[in-house]
Order: sequence, then C-alpha cells, then structure tokens
Amino acid sequence: MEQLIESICGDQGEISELEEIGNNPNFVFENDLNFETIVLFDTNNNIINVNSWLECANYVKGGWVNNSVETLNGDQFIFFVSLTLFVFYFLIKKVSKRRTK
Amino acid sequence: MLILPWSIRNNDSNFPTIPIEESTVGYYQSNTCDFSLVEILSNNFKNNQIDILPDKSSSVRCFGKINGVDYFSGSIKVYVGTNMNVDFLLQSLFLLLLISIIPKKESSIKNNMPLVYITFLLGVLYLHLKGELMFYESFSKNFDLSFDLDNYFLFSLFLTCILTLSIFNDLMKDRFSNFLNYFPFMFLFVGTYNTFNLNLFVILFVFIGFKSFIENKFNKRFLFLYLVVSIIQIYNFKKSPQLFDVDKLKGFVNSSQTIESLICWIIIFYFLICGILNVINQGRKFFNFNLFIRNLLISGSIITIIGFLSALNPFLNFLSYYYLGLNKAGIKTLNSVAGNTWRGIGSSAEALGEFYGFVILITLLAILSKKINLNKGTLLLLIVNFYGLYKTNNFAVFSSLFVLVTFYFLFTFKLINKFSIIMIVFVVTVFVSLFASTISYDLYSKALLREGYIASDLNIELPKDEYNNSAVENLNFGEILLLPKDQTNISNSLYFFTERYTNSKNIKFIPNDIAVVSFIAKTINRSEKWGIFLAKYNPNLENFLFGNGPNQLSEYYLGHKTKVNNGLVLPHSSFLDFLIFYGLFGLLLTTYIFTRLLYINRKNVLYIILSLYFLINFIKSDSILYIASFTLFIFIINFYKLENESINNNA
Repeated sequence: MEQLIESICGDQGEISELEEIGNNPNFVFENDLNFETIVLFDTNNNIINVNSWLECANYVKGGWVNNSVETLNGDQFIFFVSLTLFVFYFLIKKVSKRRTK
Repeated sequence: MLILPWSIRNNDSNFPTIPIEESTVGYYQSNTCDFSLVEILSNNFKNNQIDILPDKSSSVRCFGKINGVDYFSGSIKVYVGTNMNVDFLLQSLFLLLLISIIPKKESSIKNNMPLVYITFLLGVLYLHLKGELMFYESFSKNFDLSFDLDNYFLFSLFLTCILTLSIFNDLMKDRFSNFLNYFPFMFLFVGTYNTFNLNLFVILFVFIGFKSFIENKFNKRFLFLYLVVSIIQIYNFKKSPQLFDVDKLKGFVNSSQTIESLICWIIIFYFLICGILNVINQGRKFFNFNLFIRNLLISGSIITIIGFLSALNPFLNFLSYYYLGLNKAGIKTLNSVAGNTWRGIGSSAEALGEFYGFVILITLLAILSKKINLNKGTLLLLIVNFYGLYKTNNFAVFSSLFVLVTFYFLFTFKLINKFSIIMIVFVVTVFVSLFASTISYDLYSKALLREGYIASDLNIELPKDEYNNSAVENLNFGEILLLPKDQTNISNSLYFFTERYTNSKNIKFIPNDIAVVSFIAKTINRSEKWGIFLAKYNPNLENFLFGNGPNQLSEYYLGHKTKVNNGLVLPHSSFLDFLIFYGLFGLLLTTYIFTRLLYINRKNVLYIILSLYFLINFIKSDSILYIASFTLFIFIINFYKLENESINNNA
C-alpha cells in the first residue's frame, strides 16, 4: 500500500500521519499550495480532486487510484480480446482448410 | 475458461484473504475489487454462511473480483463482479465448446455465412437492446447504443455476436443432423446470459430459423397468419414506461413495454419456431430414439446431482448458475421449501418435475414397447430421475404418469374392451362422488371468484352485513355486480366470470360452466393462482381476441392494478399464458391444429400418450415460459415425424 501511495501521491508525507486521521469523520483536509492537484478515480469511475499529500494518501488507502493506474478501458479491452479471438479463429480455420485440401 | 476469469487479483493490493464472517464483513467492504473469487475460495470453501451472488453492474476491471459484502438476515451476501461484455463472450464460448462435443454426422448442410445473416442477427440484437433499454440501464452504467466510433461497448457486443454465430455455423456443418438427439441437454445447459434478457439457444434457433427462411424452407400460410396477427398486436399496442421484473423467466420474456421490444419479440418468436422446426425436420433422418432417451436420462441425472452439489456449496452454486446459464441460481438448501417442493438448479420446481416425469414416461414406454432394453445403467439413471421427481413433489406429474402408463399398458396389450371401459368409468365416478360428498359445493364452485376478488384492488369498501362480513366473505358475488362497474376497478375477465356465474340460466342437473372451472381449479390446487389471473387479466376486445404479443407479460402483470403487483405470480397455466400472448384466436387455432394432429395420429399410441402428458401438465403449469420446456413441447408435437425414422436408425 505504501508503494502505491508513493507512486500516486509522491513522497512528501509520512504514512504515520494517516493514522492520526483514523476513522474521524470530522477531519478536515487542508489544502497544500505546494501540492499539485491530483485526480483520483474509484472503481465506479467517480472522480475526486485531492489538494494535499495527506488527502491523496487517505483516498488511495480507501481504494481510489489515479488515471495513470486506471488506464484500462474495459469495453475497449474486451473488444480487442474478441477481435483477437476472431482473427485467431479464422486463421486456424483457413489453415485447417488448406491442410484438408 | 472455468477458473482463469475468476482468479485475476488486483496487483496493487497486498491485503491477505481471510475467512468471511460477520466480524470481517467490514474488511471486505473496505477492500472492494481487490480479491478474486478463487482467492477467497481457499479460505471459505466450507463456509456455508455465505451466499455468492453476481454484481451485474461491475466494470470489466472488477470482473471475477469481490465487489461487495453485506450481512443480511443471518447470512453474508458476497457480490462477485460480472459485466455484460465479458458475460456475453465467456458464456457464449463455454456453451459453444459444449456444442462442439456433439459427435459429427454426415450431412449436406451448407455452412456459408452471407452478410445478410450477420446483418439480420445484429439488427435483432440492436432492436432488443434498444427496446429493453430500461432493463439494461437498471444495472449497466456503460450501457450506450450510440454508433460513435469510440463506443467499444456496442462494437464489442456486435463482434462477440458475429464470433458466436460464425463458430456455431461452422460447428453445425457436421453436427446439424445430430443436434436433435442432444436436445435433452437444453434442460441442463439452459443458456441464459447472466446480464442479458436473452438466451443463447434462442439466438441460435433464430439464426437457424432465418437461414431456413432465406433458403425458402418455411410454411407460407403460417407466415401469413403470423403477420396478420402481429400487425393487429402492434396496432393495439399501448406503450408504457413500466419495467417487468423478469426474475426466473429471464431470457425468454419481454421485460419492457416498448414498440421496439414488441417487434423484436415478434421477430424472435417467429424465427425461433422456424429454427426448432428446421432442426426437427432436418434431423429426423438421423434421429436415434435410444440415444435420445439415453441423453434424457443422463441430463436428468446430472441436473439432480448438480442440484445437490450447488445446494451444499455456495461456490458451486454460483459457478453452476453462471456456466449452465440458469435463469436463476439453484436452491441453496436440500430441504423442500414453499409448497414442499425442491427445484434444484431448475427455475421452477413444476417445470423441472415435468421434465423428470417426461424422462421417466418416455423411458418406461420405450421399455414396454421393447424399443430399448432395461440394463443396469438405464435402471440406475432412471432411479436418479425418479428421486429428482420425488424431490420436486409434483403430484400432477406423479398422477398423470400413473394414469398414462396404465392406459398405454391397456391399449398396447389390447386389454381395452367394453368391460374394462365400464369398469374405469365406474371407478372414476365412485371416486369423484366420494370426493364430492366430502366437500362443500358452494365453496368449490365459487373458489375461483372468491380468490379473484381477494386479489382485486376494488377501490371501494364493500358494504358489510350484521356479522361484519362483506359480499366476498359471504360468497355473494351478485351483490358486487349491483355496484357501478366504473367505480369498482374489477378486471374485465373477473366481471365477465361473475356475471356469467350469477346471471346465466340454471338448467337442472347441469352445473354452471364457471362452477365447473372453479371446481377443477380448487381440486387441482389452482383456485388461488387462477383467481389472481382473473383479477389481473383486463384485456380490451382486440387484445382478448389476438393477444398482447409473444412473451409479453408486462401489460397483463402491471397494466391493471391489483393487490398482487410485487414478486412474480404467474397464471400457472400454459393455456392462460398462451391466451395472454395470442388471444382466443391463437388459442383456438393451436388447439385445432393440435387436435387434428392427435386425430390423424390416433393409432400412434406413443405419440398420443406423450402429447396427453404435456397437455395435462400444461393446464396447471407455466412451463411454456421456459425455453427448454417450450422446445420439448414443439418436439413432442412433431414426434410423429420422428418415430418411423428412429426405428430404421436404431436398427
């Protein structure tokens, strides 16, 4: 998890800071002007902008990821899998036809 | 294909899997889309506290992973990610793999695949998706039917459809004539997609049907009649934004009330029948009665065994649901439930019981007529099927089996003479009289109307007598007729039945026709269900004559407000289902065709017995709403074509 947080949010903070937040629902994240805003996505492709390392780390810990990790467009992936299977199937068919001739 | 899709884990997650129990639900809720199904299997294989269910709204990335865990009324629901595009590809390929196991037989079937076939099927698929938009949008976030170049969702579905049809077309080249002998496995491999209101076999039969249509192998009179009725149905159609919960009928019923979906099901139903008939007509030369019965016995036995295994283990329950393409997941207990029935992996205990009964009936008749020999293997499979029937607790099947086998025995061994007929009539009369003497005629003759009024939402409070009983409780339905009809919200059918019961002339010693129907309904335990049917069925004249359209239950179920609008309470009679779909005209025409076939083949005892078995059971079951039972029914109607061929093939 630490590696993931570092790869998405950078190394400007300490993991131990996360423990201070705990499950406190009233915790308010302060904007860090030196931190470049990062866009994070959850599994349902919901979007959130985080403005500090702590906020970023907290969301990544909760399962959010940045765009660079979530590059896969599922439908596109399945399309190309189907296309590969399609091409593969017709190639095999052609080869086996030639052999039987 | 069985393990890999469910074993891909999230590489970014380092969390270990732990047993799923009440205290660890939060752990899994915080780490969704991290653990694969296979991963949690190692820690939870014997965990019977969990129910594994598909999460139909999952993204492709979370397919096969644990997407949610909830603690709900004593059990833990574990949601596994599934996705429309992946399901379409994976489930199609799995079933095609199974079709490829069918042994090859020589045939002269052309397997060319002109563009017109593909275009037609893609058109039907698109029309289906567009027509049932509400059904798909209820769970799929990516659902998009636009023809944009970057809409991979739609193109992926189209490509999978083309791939499936191409592979099927190639498989059928050498197997088409043998396909018929393997029909029985449709009860095991049902073929319904997890996230589609479609069934693979429906698609394949429509494909075969369209092919036969293009090759000019179709009945022109039937097409003309079908077109006329369909046009009337389209003309009478009322669009409505309601979504019918397809539940256990998934894959073979229209979920929406849109003109596109009605047209789509009209097309599907026509080509489906053409496809099934084409398989029967083309396959009859190669029909092997022994092989067919063996396949029935094996299929029935495997259904029983998988039914037990899936009840014992949640993982097997989920995987059997997914790969067999079940309309709904198998029952999760070995004990009988509502109505003391057990449905195993079947959608309905009734339909499954009928299948077991059919397997047993045809096997017994084949043994009695010496078409097959009773060896140890057959006996063992027969016992397993008997056990399956016993578990489904279908009394109608038991009794019809007993009566029909007895009749077959009497006819075949020429034990029928005047004396035996008199004896049978005497025994039946004594039994009916004895039964009638123990019951209340008033209650039995009015049971149907009573149940109809109980289910009706009358809009008004009925006046009560000094004992605080209303007209319904007093079974005095004539009183309700005195109320203005436009204020009571009584369905047309219930009003008609009440009027006919109350106002028709009494002829001495001849019971009222409505009373007879009610008596039969009460005796076979259908008064409640048929009463609900009367409460709901509210057609106008055109709909009553020509129906709402094929597999169109939405208007019937949600069009007229009653007290029974939730859950899926079906009419519990295939004849009533047919009345809803094709109206009185369709029902009478089908009855005429069927009666004529029975008359023409009256000397074919096997045909008569098998047909009667279905007719008897269809009176009180909805089996026609399931693709496997529907296919078997068409097979039985056409069985007379196959019998003579099979003798030559077996020899």
